[in-house]
Amino acid sequence: MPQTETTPSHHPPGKWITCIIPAEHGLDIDLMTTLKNGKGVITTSSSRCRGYSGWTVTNPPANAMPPANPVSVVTVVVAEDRAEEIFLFLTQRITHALQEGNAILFQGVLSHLSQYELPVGIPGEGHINTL
Amino acid sequence: MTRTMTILTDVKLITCIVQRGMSDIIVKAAREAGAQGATVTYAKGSGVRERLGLLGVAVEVDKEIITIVVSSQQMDAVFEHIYLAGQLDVPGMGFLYVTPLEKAATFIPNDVLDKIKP
Amino acid sequence: MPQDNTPAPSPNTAPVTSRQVSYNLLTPKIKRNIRGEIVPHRTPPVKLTFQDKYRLLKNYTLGRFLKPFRVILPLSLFLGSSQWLVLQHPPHGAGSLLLGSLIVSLGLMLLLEGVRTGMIPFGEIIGQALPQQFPLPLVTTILFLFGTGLTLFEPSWKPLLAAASRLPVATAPHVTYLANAKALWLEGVTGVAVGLALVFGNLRVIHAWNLKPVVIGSLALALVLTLVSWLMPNQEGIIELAWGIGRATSAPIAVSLILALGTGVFVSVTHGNRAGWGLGLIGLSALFATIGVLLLALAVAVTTPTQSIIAMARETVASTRAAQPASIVDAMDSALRATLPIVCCLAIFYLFVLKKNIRNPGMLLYGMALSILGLAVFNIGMGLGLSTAGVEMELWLATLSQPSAILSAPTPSGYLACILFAVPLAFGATLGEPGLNIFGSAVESLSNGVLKKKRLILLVASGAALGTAIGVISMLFALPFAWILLPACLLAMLLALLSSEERVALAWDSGGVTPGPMAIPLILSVGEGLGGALNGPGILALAALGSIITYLALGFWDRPIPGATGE
Repeated sequence: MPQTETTPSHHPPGKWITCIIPAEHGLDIDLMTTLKNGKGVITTSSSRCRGYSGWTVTNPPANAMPPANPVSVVTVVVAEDRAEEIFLFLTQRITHALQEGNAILFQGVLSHLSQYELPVGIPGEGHINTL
Repeated sequence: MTRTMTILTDVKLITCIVQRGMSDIIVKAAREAGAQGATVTYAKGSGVRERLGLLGVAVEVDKEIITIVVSSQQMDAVFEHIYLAGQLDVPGMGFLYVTPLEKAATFIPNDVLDKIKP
Repeated sequence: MPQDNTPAPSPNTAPVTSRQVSYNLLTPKIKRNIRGEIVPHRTPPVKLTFQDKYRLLKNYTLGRFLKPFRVILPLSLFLGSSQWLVLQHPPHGAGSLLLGSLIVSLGLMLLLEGVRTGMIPFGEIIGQALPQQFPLPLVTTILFLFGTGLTLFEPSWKPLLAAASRLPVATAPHVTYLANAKALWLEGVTGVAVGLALVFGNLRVIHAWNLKPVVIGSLALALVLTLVSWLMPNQEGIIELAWGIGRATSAPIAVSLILALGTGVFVSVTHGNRAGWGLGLIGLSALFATIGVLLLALAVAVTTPTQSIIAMARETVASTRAAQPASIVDAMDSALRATLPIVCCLAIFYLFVLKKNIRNPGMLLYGMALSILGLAVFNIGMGLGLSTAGVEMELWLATLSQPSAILSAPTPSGYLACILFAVPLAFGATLGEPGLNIFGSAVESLSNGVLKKKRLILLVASGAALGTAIGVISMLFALPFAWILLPACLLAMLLALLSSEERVALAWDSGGVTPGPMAIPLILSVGEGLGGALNGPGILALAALGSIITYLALGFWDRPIPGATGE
């Protein structure tokens, strides 16, 4: 479509990183706050899910459903050039859960990314521009 | 002791959106095809419901979203097995797609790692 | 597992052939106006053939009908066949029993669907909007009125009152007096107690107080009051009545609204980042109602001399004696009375407060209409089949357990028969309980499917069966109710002390929703048939306590409940 040719330049490519972590201990809130305070990343979201994990079950029964665990799925969207840094930061942040086999994180490519800025003057929120 | 981080490559993400209550079938199918984990979220959908008028009440809005991380080699098998088990060729049953992933990180037991080392 | 990994083009010929279609060919072509803006695309309505419509509606209704039917039908068959076995002839109205179970299942289907699409979303919207739009004192007042109103108009605990009012004056003067002369007071106290519980429960959520101390504290208070009441003269039956009423306050529609209100308030206050899901309101209501009734009975006993109570009880008893049979008009009437005030109240909310918060009013109205209709149909079905069967059963259970009857003496096999009969009955009736089904679905979706509805219901029903069995045994051996109740409460208290916050909330809530309109008439009949009208409410209380204890006790083997540790 010829009309949309200008759009990609406004919306640069980016990366998305998703962490699946245990829902207990408020780990998702902790991740999002440290991302905001430590890295200035506010384009994060968290949702509650139930997760089935293969590695943690030593001898999974052949046909039965493995037990489900409550998990949080935290998704972070970042600019392309910051992806490596944030990925590393996240792995360090959830090392404990990773070591216990309760977590996974993965990264994918985004073709377009829109700007996200907070309005100026919200108490407790600095004027952060992530991208 | 320095810790080494294992980064997995050749990973794909399969996402499947089905009617509420169907996820067990999907997760089971994915496991049968070799997938090693799955995450299920409750969600609401929309689409054909709004176009049916009064009969729209008979269409389930409640959905489940299943995300499964697979290797690029097993992707086709998992995709196909889920597609058949979930009867996704029947109208209104659900929707399935694959997202490429650059990399993933998770805990992998050492004995598993040793086995694949040359 | 990894041996399944086949190379990308699968070597073993797959049973499916795939074809590739560009999605570009399937999406609508978007038009732009002169300024280059997108002209909104309108999808044309779908035209369905008659066959499509039939298939759609069949899929929608059949599964929803079969689910309750699979529970209700065995229950009816069990009731009918055991009557046949005992009475040695086919039960009266076997046909109406079957028809009744069909209608009950239909009612349950409508009710559950209506609650899911109407009552729960509406309750959640109100719960979310209340703390955001009003100052706390006003929220508290509204919640109080809401809880009181809900309870006063719910008919499910009225059979209890009716049973109590039919008691012989000589054996239980205080109960007959309360249930007849002070019936309004009794209802008022229960309503106020539930109102208070709602206020307290929501304040707890808003201020992040823990639930466990509240539950344990009120349980301790109830225990002390029970003990006092037990030791006082002429108080026979008061304990049973109080604990029975406490267990029976929350009927299906009230359950759904209270539940949704709690989750709504919880979401709006905590933004979902705290443990628990705003549960516990129903359990608190039950406990508070028990305490309220015990306090009322004590107040009456202290202020009014026993002689005048007996005299007054005699006077009033005659006028209310007639037990009313349930007809279609009655059922419709009670369903409307149970729901109309709530719906009017909700409508006022809707018109003046929340209009902007509601996105799909048509669907909500559909759901609410469906729940009212469902409740009415359910009541009709119960009146037609199960309740009547229950009354008949009451008669032959009496003959089975009493020495005076057909069996010359109460034989061990007679006792065993009573227990063997009561346990599946309590189990089946609890499985079909609408309130428990609503609660189970709510818990399943709140926990994102980690806590399965089926499992919860099975656990609670087994617990109810266990409690009923213990109640029946205590009755057959004529043990005082307090001997069973007090240890059971102490055990529940101890388990609550050791369990996690979430499990306590879940356990007490599921004990609060059972028994409901399904199990109350049946379990009451068992109690009354075995031990006279005094014991019916007692068995109800034991059934609920059985569920609570079972759920808490199994928690020690179970995996922890999600969000157990909180922030």
